[in-house]
Amino acid sequence: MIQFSKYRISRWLLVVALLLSFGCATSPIGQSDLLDFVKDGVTTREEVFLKLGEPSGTYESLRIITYRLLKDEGGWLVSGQIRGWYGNAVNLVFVFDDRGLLIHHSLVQVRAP
Amino acid sequence: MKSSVRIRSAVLASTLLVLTGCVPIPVPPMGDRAGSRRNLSDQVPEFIVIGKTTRAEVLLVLGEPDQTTDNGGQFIYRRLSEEGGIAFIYGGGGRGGVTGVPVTLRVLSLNFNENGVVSNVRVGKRVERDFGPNLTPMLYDDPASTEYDTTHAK
Repeated sequence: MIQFSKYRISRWLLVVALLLSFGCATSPIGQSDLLDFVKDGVTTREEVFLKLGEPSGTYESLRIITYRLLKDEGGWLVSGQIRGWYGNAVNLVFVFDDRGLLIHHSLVQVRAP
Repeated sequence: MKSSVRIRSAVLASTLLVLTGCVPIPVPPMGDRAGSRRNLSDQVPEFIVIGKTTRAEVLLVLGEPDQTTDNGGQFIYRRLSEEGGIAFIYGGGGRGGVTGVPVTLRVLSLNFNENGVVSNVRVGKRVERDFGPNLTPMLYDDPASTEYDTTHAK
């Protein structure tokens, strides 16, 4: 009887441990195709706003805008306005011409030396 | 007998030092602090030329600055790292810990003229001790307090 109780307790502990470990698991939320629309000479500022939302930085009356991105196993995600740079933070910089057409862009590895 | 007294005295002295909060200890280099950028060195980046480099070019290479002043007329980039040195252990009645960790602060400051072209660039590097609340306002709220080492003049 004592042996049976111990067995049952061990089994329950195993089930609880498994449940806890499942609860801690995370799935990637990044989008691998998030930046596929970005093409110099083609993409407009409006498209960037519609796809990526509010930028983290704007300069020269929206001629230059920046976004803070993170990358997980699923792809890119916009991290929004936060103080500091964390994880594998990347800064996406867009430069537009007077008509709002993208002329340059770069992915700056802020956390890379 | 004499050695026993010496050991007791040493232990007592060490305990008192810990309790009074002034025991120096070596701390190893821990690299860049969490939240700090890494794409900044001790030198002015080669691509930056006064009177030529534009705001857009700076942003495309370095990314958005950690602080802007003068309505975008000045960019400030900062990097914080722990490169080792001497810190302090303090007792404090059970709320002790390590304090005064030396933090190396690298700063790149850029000024732009009305055409968005770099008009001045300075780099600075100094070591500050992190006693907690003293570091944050110094880093983020008072750019004027930064002392710069060199002025770039190409």
